[in-house]
Amino acid sequence: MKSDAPDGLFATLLSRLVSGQLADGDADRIADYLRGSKAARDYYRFYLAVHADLTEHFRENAAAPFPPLPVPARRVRMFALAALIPLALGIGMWSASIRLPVPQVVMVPEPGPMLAVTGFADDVRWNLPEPPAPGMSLSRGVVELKQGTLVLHLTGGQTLTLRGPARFELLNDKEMRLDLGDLSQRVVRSHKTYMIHVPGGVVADLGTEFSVKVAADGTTDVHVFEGKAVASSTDSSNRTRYERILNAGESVRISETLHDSPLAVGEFLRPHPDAVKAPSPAGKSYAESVGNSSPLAWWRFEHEKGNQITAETVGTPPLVLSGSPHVLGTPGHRFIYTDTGDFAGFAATESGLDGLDQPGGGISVECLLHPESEQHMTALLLEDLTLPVPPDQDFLPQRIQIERAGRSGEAIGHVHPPYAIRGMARIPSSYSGGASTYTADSYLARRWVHVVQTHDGKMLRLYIDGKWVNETPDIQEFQGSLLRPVIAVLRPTQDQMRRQWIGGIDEVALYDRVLSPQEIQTHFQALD
Amino acid sequence: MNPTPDSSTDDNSASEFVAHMLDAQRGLRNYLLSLHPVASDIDDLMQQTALTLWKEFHRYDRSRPFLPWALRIGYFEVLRLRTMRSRDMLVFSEDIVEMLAEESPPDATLQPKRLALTACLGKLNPDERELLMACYGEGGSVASLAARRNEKPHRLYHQLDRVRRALVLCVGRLLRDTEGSFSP
Repeated sequence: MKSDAPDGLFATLLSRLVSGQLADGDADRIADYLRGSKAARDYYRFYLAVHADLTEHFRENAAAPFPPLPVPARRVRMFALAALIPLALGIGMWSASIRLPVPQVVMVPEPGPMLAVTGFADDVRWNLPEPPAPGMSLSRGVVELKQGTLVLHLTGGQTLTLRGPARFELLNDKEMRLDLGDLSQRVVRSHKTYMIHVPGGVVADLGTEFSVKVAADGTTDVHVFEGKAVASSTDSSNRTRYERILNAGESVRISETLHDSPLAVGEFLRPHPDAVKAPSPAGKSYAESVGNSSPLAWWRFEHEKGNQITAETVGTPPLVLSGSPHVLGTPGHRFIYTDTGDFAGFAATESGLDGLDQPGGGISVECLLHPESEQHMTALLLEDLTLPVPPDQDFLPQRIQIERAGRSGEAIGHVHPPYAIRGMARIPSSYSGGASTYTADSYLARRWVHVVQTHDGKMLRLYIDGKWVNETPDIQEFQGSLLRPVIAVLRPTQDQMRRQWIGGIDEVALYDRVLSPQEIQTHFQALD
Repeated sequence: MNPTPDSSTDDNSASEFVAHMLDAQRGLRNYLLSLHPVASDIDDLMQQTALTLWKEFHRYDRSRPFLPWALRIGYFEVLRLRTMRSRDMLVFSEDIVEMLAEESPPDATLQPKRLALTACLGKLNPDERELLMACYGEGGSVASLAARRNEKPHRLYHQLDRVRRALVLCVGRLLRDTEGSFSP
C-alpha cells in the first residue's frame, strides 16, 4: 500500500523536503530510498500529491480550512445516523433498479459541516428520525424523500425544491447527488457554481433557475427556465464526455449522449414559493407579555411615519431607516427586512437612550431574528455616544451586540458551532475584546428565533427561544454611557456592507434591568 | 508573448484544449512536483508546460489519451528548467528524475483524494490544526507559531512530520476502503 511509509525515516525526510528543511545529505538519502524500491517511489508520489492537495486546499479554503470539531449537537447525531441507515439497509436495493453513477465520494462516518437548512415542507415523509420542520439543519447524508414537497436553502445561497419520491445526497457546499425524483434549483444570491450529479451526468448552474427530473430507470431530463445551465454526460469513470449549454426554454435528456428531451415543459418542477419572508410570530399576546415587563425602549415596527419607526414606549426616539430597509408583514406582525441587495440598510435612533446604562444596574436586549444567509451578520448593537470616534475609525465604539456567526473561525477567528448566535458585551465600550456567549446550536434557520441577552454587571447570559443557553462571567461596572441602538448593520455607512443583516428582525426591546428567566420564558410562550 | 496556434486551430480546439487541461491539471501538477520537488518552481513549471502544450496542441493525436502526452511534454519542461538551475538548487540527480518519469502514472483518483483529505483534516485536534495553519495558511509560519507557543521550532517540525504522515495514511486508508484501491 503506497500510503504506508516504507519506514519512518523516509517519511521524515519527505516532511523535511516539502518544508524546505532538507539538511546536508538528506536529498541523497531520499534518492537512495527511491532507487531502492518501487514501494518507496509510490509512497513518495502519494506523499507529494497529498502535500500538493493540502497546499491547494488551504489556498482555496483560506477562511475555514477545517471541518468543525465535533460538537454535541442532537441534530448532528441524527444526520450521522441518517447517513448510515440506507447503507445498513443495503443500497443494493436501489442499484438494482437505478443506474447509479460511479461512486465518486468517500463515505465518511463523521457528519460534515451543515450544508442546508430546511424551509417549506408539505406532506413530507422521509427517512430521517425527526419529522421535517422549517429550520432543521442538514449535513452530509443520504435523504430519501418518500413523499411531499421540501424546500432546502443551501449554505451557498441556492434554493432547492424537491418533490418525492426522491433520493438525494448533499456532498459538500458545491455539489450534491440526485438519484431519483424531481428537483428545482433557483439561485438567489450565490455566484458559486453548484453541481448536481445525476445518473450518467452532471448539471451545473450558471446563474439560473432550472429543473431536473430523474426517473426510476435513471433517465434524466433537464429544463432551464431562466438564465443558463450546463448539462453533461459522463463516462464510466465519471469524467465529462459531452456537454451542452442550455439557455432559457431549452431542455435536454442525459443518457450516454445528450439528446433533446421529449418531456413537455409542464412536466418539470418549478420552485415552491417558499415563505422566505415568513410573517413574524409576534402578535397581540406577545405585545401584551413584553409590555408587562415594562421595557425602557421598544419598537414593534407596526407604526411607520415616512422613514421613521415609532416606538411603543413613551418618550423613546423613533428608529430612523437609512438605506433601503423594508418593513414587511401583515398588520400586527410587521418587521424590518434587510439584505445586501435592494434592501440594504439599517435602522437607528438619532439620539442615545437615557437611563439604559446605569452604574449598579443591568441591561437586557430582546428581539426576534429571522436569519437568511450563511454570512456573519450583525442583528443589533448598542453604540456608545459618549465616546469620540477615533481618527482611524468611522463609527462609534460598541457596548452590546447580537450577531449570527458564520462558519467557525470564518469572520473573526472565534471557535463556535457554525451559524451560532452570539451575544457580546464590551465594557467599557470598544471596537474589540470583551466577553462573548455562543449558542451550541446552529441558526442558519429561515425561522424566527427569540433572542434575549442580559448583563447584570457580573454575568453575560444568552437565552434562545425562552431558554438559557450560555453564559460568560464578565465582572464589569456599567458606565452611565449614552447608548444608541443600531439595528441590522454593524457599520452604518452606505459603503460598508460588512456584516449587513440579511433577513428579518422584529420586536426590539431594551431594558434597564435584567429580565428574569421566567419573564423571558413567558415572552417566548406568548408568540403565535 | 501569446502562443499562436496553427492556422487551422479554431475556437473548438481552444475549448477542447481547455477541457483537456482541466481534466489533466492536477495529475500534471503532481507529476511535475514529483520530478522537481521545489515548490517555488511549480507554478512557473505548470505555466510553461501549459504554454508548450497549447503551442503543440495541433500535433496531439486525438485518438490517444491527453494526459500521457501532457506528462511527456511536462517531463521535457522539467529537463529544460534543470538546465537553467545551478546544481545545488536541484534535489535529485538526472537518473532519479528519469526513473520517476518512466514509471509515473496518471492519478486516476483526484477528486476522492481531495474529499478524503477534507475528511482526514476533520480528525485533527486543535493543536494539530493550528500547526497546519501555520505551515499552509497564508501569512503563517512554523517559526512564529513556535515563538507563540514558547517551543523550539524543531519540535514543531517533528509534530508536523507526524501529522503529515498520519494524513497520508488516513487518505490512503479512506481511498482503499471506499474505492478498493487508489492505484492507477
